[in-house]
Formats: sequence, structure tokens, C-alpha cells
Amino acid sequence: MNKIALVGNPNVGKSVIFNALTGLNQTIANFPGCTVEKKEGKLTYLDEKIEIIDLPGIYSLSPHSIDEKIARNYLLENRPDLVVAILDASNLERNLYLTIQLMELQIPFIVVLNMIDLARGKGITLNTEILEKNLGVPVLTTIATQGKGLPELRDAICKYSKNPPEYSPLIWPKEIEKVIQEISEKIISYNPDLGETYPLKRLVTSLLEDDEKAWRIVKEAGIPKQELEFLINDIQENKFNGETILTLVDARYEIVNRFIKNVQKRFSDHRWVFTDMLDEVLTNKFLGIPIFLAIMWGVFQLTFTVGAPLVSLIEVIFNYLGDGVYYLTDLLDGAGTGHNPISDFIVGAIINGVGSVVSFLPNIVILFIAIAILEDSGYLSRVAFLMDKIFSRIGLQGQSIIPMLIGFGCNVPAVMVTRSIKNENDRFTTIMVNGFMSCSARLPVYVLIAGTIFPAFAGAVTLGLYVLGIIVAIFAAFVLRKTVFRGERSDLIIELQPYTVPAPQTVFIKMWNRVKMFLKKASTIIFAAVTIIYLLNEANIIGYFGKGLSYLFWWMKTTDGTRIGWEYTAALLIGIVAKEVVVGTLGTLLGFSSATPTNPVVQETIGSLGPAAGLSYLVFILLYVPCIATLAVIKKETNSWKWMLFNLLMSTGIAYALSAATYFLVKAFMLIPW
Amino acid sequence: MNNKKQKRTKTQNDYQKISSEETINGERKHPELQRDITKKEETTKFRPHRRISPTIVKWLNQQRITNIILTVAVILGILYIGIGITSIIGFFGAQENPWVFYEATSFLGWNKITVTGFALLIAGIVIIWSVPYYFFNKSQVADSYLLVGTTIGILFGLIYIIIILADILNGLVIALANQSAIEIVTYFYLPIPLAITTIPIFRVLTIRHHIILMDEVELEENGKKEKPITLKQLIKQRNQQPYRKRWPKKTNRKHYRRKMRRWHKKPWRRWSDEEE
Repeated sequence: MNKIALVGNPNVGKSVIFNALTGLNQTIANFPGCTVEKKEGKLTYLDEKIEIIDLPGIYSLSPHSIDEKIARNYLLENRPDLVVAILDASNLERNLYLTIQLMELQIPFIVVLNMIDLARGKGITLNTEILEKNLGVPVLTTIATQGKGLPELRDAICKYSKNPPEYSPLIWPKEIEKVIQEISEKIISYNPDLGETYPLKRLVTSLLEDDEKAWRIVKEAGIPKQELEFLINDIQENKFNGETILTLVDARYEIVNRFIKNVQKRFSDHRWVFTDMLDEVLTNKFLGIPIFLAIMWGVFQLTFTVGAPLVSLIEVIFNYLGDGVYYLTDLLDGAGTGHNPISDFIVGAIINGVGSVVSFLPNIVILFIAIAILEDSGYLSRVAFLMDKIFSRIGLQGQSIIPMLIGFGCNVPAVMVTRSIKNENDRFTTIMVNGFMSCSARLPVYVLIAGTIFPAFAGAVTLGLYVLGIIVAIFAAFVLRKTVFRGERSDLIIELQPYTVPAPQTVFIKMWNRVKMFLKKASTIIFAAVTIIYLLNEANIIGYFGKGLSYLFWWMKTTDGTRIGWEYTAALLIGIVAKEVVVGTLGTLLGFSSATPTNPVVQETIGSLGPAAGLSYLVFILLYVPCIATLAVIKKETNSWKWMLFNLLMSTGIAYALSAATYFLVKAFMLIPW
Repeated sequence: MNNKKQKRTKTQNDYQKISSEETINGERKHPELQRDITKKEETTKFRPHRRISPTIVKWLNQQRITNIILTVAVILGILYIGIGITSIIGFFGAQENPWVFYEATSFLGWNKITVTGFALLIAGIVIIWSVPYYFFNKSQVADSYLLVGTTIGILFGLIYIIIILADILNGLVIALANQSAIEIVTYFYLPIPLAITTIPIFRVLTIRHHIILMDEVELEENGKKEKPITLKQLIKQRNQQPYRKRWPKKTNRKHYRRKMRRWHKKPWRRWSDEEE
């Protein structure tokens, strides 16, 4: 089976094309660094099976981060049969830089100019025929998000994977060509066969760029490093005045300019395009953040208000289900009440436990749709840009913002996305504070408690919790960068792609993928957890844990002045498995089938917490360790138990301290005679 | 003047600069991005957009219209900020229920006015932000702020329309659950009428900043070399179409469709189609 790799700069639409070719539903978004792993899929076209590999976005073959290394190493070690070089048509010059490096690697490739509509929106026209002639490889144009040009791409992949095109020779400037020749001869003198296994010119340029991988290849080939190093150092100092990397970069751009001569024309009538207009305002240093807060407030308002009737509808369905179970039991045993251990288990564990979590599905769906729209519109990368100023002041890299924003959805992929962060200290700090970003799993708890205790301000309270999460993350990152992860910070490099109108299909697919995950979680982990809780509760075991733990929260009092019930602390303990389980546990232990704020049982039980204990409980839920899955991925990404435990203790400690502080602050606030 | 052939005489150079990077531990990050790229803009002819005529775009870009927009911006800004602040005052205790602080619409049959101070205030500030730029003749920047401000206003108007729909749905669900009559509790959400007032100015701004592409652009995009079709040619082409391709009169349409379906099913017909 032929192997085809999709290669390109970050955020040029590789994953969209990958999804279209393979029929898979890999996560896509309008911000760079969405793909941090290589993904594989199969394309079956005209009875042919081709393996398609989607690689993380790279700017060049000189990697600086883990995801870039993954892409580069794949190209070097696996040598795909054909590379599809995907280029952003509106930024051809910079995108062709990578294509030039593919030519250096002597990998067969075809070129795809994606996002041709955005180029047109910027007033750029491209003559693909000239580009095709200059490069010597087929050049296709696509608008991947609209599916335009994809059938032609499929044809081209099938055709050229068997007969790879031969591209125009790469002509370096004379001075560089001479240097390459000189070093190549030296290498050949030591190992004449190396040129057969690795393109010599590329090896030489990589050595000049001081690429670690190139030196390893040289070492493995048995070439004495010292002599070669001496020669290269001499060339670097005398011929390139110590600026070898920039000289090579300039030379490559010179080649790019030769290739794109007469290819693109740019027209403008002095008026700004919409992206420029929006960026002027949305990235304004004074207005940017308030606008972001207003948008998020709107999202939560929608989540709560629009979700409410749908949640009530699910509540009605679950109530009928519970009644149905008792009715059926009554029909079977004829006892009159319908209550027996089995029916109580079904209603208590499954319908009350799982049902109380599933009833929040409408809220989650609305939130997922809103986040998907924000991601696909390109707004999130602007938020990253906005927050960079704040982040840079605390010593954290702006690149850390992307994982933190992804953390609003789920902390597990967010921790994985930190791979795109180049600086190790920045990366570890981001991993450590990511759990403070409020993931969607916590939303049901907010809806339940904030909706019951603060019915008119549930949206504002939820937004406040999200903002608190960000503030705590920033503060914790500041402390960590000053103590545990000391070191220099690096700058944010992020491509702000033009704003796009999110495609409904993409938004739906994203929402559906997340909903599927939620339902899968509800039917497996949550189901298992609430079943165990129900059984432990029946055996009076869970009460011991809950009561034991409730002593730690001795200060948290309900409206009638008593310590909060052990059910709440037991739910916190079980919540380590998954945050949604908190609601399921409360549903099972407090005996409400539907966790809607309008439910009288909920009003009676959760409502008795009062503002101080309610808010304090929510703050604890927000800040303590996200879930087992996040801990596991932290262990995997940091490759250390130590950091996983550190995260567990740090987050729980901060959660406890801030929860207590919130409780006493609210209490003091309530004492003021307004 | 032929609007299809406006000419630009001025050549403009546009510089796109990528900020340089700092080195970390002596290592340079992404040196390939540390370059200035000079893109030369070319003088060109413009063509009208499919729907928006350049005459309208040009007309809307007059100073006179800018002055009107400035006036509207001031009024809208004050309106949004005023209502936003009043609502926030209400939120902090000036009224018993901060969300229901104004009852002027109760005679209309609606419950009460409900406003959302924070979002309206932000929209108002963004709108007002544009005013100084208009005074300093920076209408592009000013339009940007006004456009975003009105967009936020419209967005929140839409959100509250959805909320009214949710209120109706809520009434239905409660009626279903309690097996009672439907009682819908909703409010006269102020962001909605405010959004309606901002829609015209939003539309004017979008037209003002419509990018007009030239003939060549579209032709090259489509990979065609022929000239764009004129209305006259289009009518001529339509008249040249064979009669069978036209829809018959409405009364015969059903019969006609059946007939055509049968005609398409004929194997030789399909075979000849594939040939083509």
C-alpha cells in the first residue's frame, strides 16, 4: 500500500483535507497546533488503497518542538511514496519555504494551494500554470472546507503515488553551492555510500544549520566528527560571518522568489478587508478582553437559558422511566408498590445516577457548539494573542494559551497539545496549571449548584468560575516559573489566519464527537461509578468515607448552620474518577432523579447549601484535580510520577485554600448591611 | 463614467513584517520566519461585485455619509452605554429585582423590560470608541470599531430572541410535566429592539467595506480566459436553449415530468449520456 503524507505549515487545512480523503473525523480548528500527533487513515479510490498520514504542521524541517520533530522524523525515516505539500494560497512565499526543503530531501511531492477563497478575499490572484511550470510538479487548488478541488486531488494522489513527478532542480546561489560541494566531497571521501541512503545536499545544509539529527547520521555513518566539525566551523566563520542559518534562509527565499515569479498578483483598493477590521478591534489592548468576556457571557447565558427547557424535558422523560420501572415491577410481582431491590437499584442507580448526568446533555451540546464556532471562526487564536501580553508578564509563553483554551473543552487533549510548546519549562508549567481551566465535565455541577442557589445569576456565576480558573492558572504559573520551572521565556509565534464563517457540517461533527465521548463516558465510567456508589451506599460504606472527609470541611456550613452533608464530600472523592460523576453521586445519595434546579428535591437539598457553602463547593470543584484521565496523561507527557503527584497535591491544596477563602469572604460579604 | 473600468493610477507598496524572535539559550527559533517580505501591489481595473454595485460602495464612502454614520455612532453609543449603566445600577441594588427594573412596556402586554447591562455596556463602549477616529479622519479604524460594536449588539439581540424561544419551550415543557395549561413567562428583552436599530448601520458598514475584485481575478480563479458574460448575451443564450429544456406550463408539469423520466430511463439514452 502506498503511503502519502500531508505536509504543510500549521493551520493550512491539512486535517480538513485528511478528513475529506479518509472519511475520518479528526479534530480540526482555525488555530495552529491543532494536530500534535501523526494520524493515519486509508483512502480507497478506484479500487486502490492508499495510506494517508496527517502530520503536525511545521514551518521548516529544522524542528524546535515535539510535534515538529514528529513530522520531520516521519519524513526522514519513513520516506513516504508521495508528499502532498499543502500550502496556504494567501501566504505562498512563506509556505513554499517548506516545499523547497522537501525538494532538498528529494521526496516526491505534489502541491496543493488550499484556501484559495481566502487569497481571493485578500485580493491575491495566482497563476497555477506558471507555478506548475516553475516547480515542475502538479499544482492543484482547493477550498477544503467547502470540498472544492478534492476529487481532483484524489485523482492526482492515485496517479502520482505510482508515478511520482520529477521536479525542477534546486539551484542554490553559487557561493552556497560551492560550500555544499566542498563538504559533500569531504563526506564522500569518508563514506562514499552515504549519498545513496540520504540526500547529501540536504545533509550538508542540515550540518551547516547545526541539526542534531544530521550529526547523528554522520556519526552513524562512521565519519570522524571532529574533522568535519572543524571544516564546517571554518566555513561558518569565514564564509558566512557566523550567520550561516540566516544565509541559508535567505538563499531558500531567493529560490522561492524565483519559483513564484509572475505567479501571484496582489490588488488592493486601500480598503481594509473584514479580517483586518475585526482584528483592529478584537485585539485592542483595552477592549479585547472585555469583548472576550462579553462573548463568553453570551455563551453561558445561552447554555443556561436555552438548555433549561430541554433539561426539563429530559427530566420528564426520566421521571416517566422511573415510574415505568415501578409500574412494570408492580405488574410482575403484584406487591402494590413496585418497590423491590431490583427496581430500587434500577431507579436509584441507573435512572437517578446516570439520568442526573445525562440530563445535562442539552447544556453540554450548546456549550460544545459555541466552542466549536469560536474555534472555527479563528477567534481563539486572537484570544491567544490577546492573553500573550498578560502571560508574558508572568513569564509564561504565549503558546501556552492554546492548550489552556482547549482545556475549556477537555483537559486531556489540552495537556497533549502542550507538545507544540518549544521551551520545556513553559511546557511543564502549562501542563501543571491546565487543570485549573474549567473543562466541560464540570459544567453539569455548575448548572446544578449555581442554577439552584443563584437562579437569576447562574450564567454570571459560571462565567465568574471560568475567569477564576484563568486567574488561578496565571497566578500558579507565575509562582511555578519563579520557583520550580525557572528559566528564560520565549515569544509567541502564531499565525492569525483570516476569520472564517464556520461550516455547519464541521461544527456539527465536532459537537457530535464530543457528545459521543460524553455519552460513552456516561454509559461506562459514570454508570460503573454510580452503580458502585449505590451499592456502597446500600451497604453503608460510602457514608464512612464521606463522613471522614467532611471533617476536613468543618468550616463549610449550610444555611441552618450545620456542617455540609457527607454526601457532598463523598461526591468530591468520587469526582476524581470524572467530574460528571459528582452530579451522579449527588443524584444517587440525595435521591433526585433529575438534577435540574427546578426539581423540588434539588431545591430542598442543594438549595440548603446557601450562597457561601455553594460557591465555596463550586470553587473546590473548579480547582481540584480534574480527573484520573488527566492525571494519566500528565504522567505520560511528563514521563514522571513525580510531576503527576505534584499536580495532584498542588491542585487539591490550592482548591482547599481558595474554597475556604471564598466561603469566609461570602460570609463576610453577606454580613454587610446593604 | 464606466464603473466597470475604474483605474488606479497610484502604485502602492505593502510591507508585511513578521516580528523578529529572540534567541533562547543561543538557539534561534524559526529563523525562516525572521524575514521581511515585500509585496508589490499593482494598479488594476476593478469590476463590480455580483450583487453590490461599486456606485453604491463609492456613494457610501462619501464624507457626507461618514458624518451621518458618526452621528448615528454617537446616538447608538450613548443609548447602549446609558441602558447598560442603568441596568448595572439596578444589578447592584437600586431596584428590588435587578433584572426587572423598568416597566414602561407593561402596557404593550409584555411582562417587563429585562436588560443585560454588562454586554450592552461593552457594545456601547466599542461603538463610542469609534467616534474620536471619525474626528481624526481615520474612518477605516472608526468603521472597524462601529462594525464590531454593532455586531456585538446584533449578536446579543439574537441571543435574546433565542431566549424568548427557550421561554416558550419552557412553558410547553412545564405544561407537559404538570399536565396543566401552557403559561409562557418571557420578557421584553431590550437588546432585541436595540439590535434591530443597529442592523441598518451594520449593513451600511459592510457595504462600505466591500472588497471589489477585478475581472482578471475571477477569470483566473475559474481558469477561464473568456470575457465575462453580459446580460445581453445571457438573454440570448437562454433564448437559444432547446424548447424541451424549458418547463412547460404549470398545468402540464406533472405529465411532462413523467414523460421526461421515462425518456431518461431509455437504455440507449443513458448509454449515449455516458459516451458524452
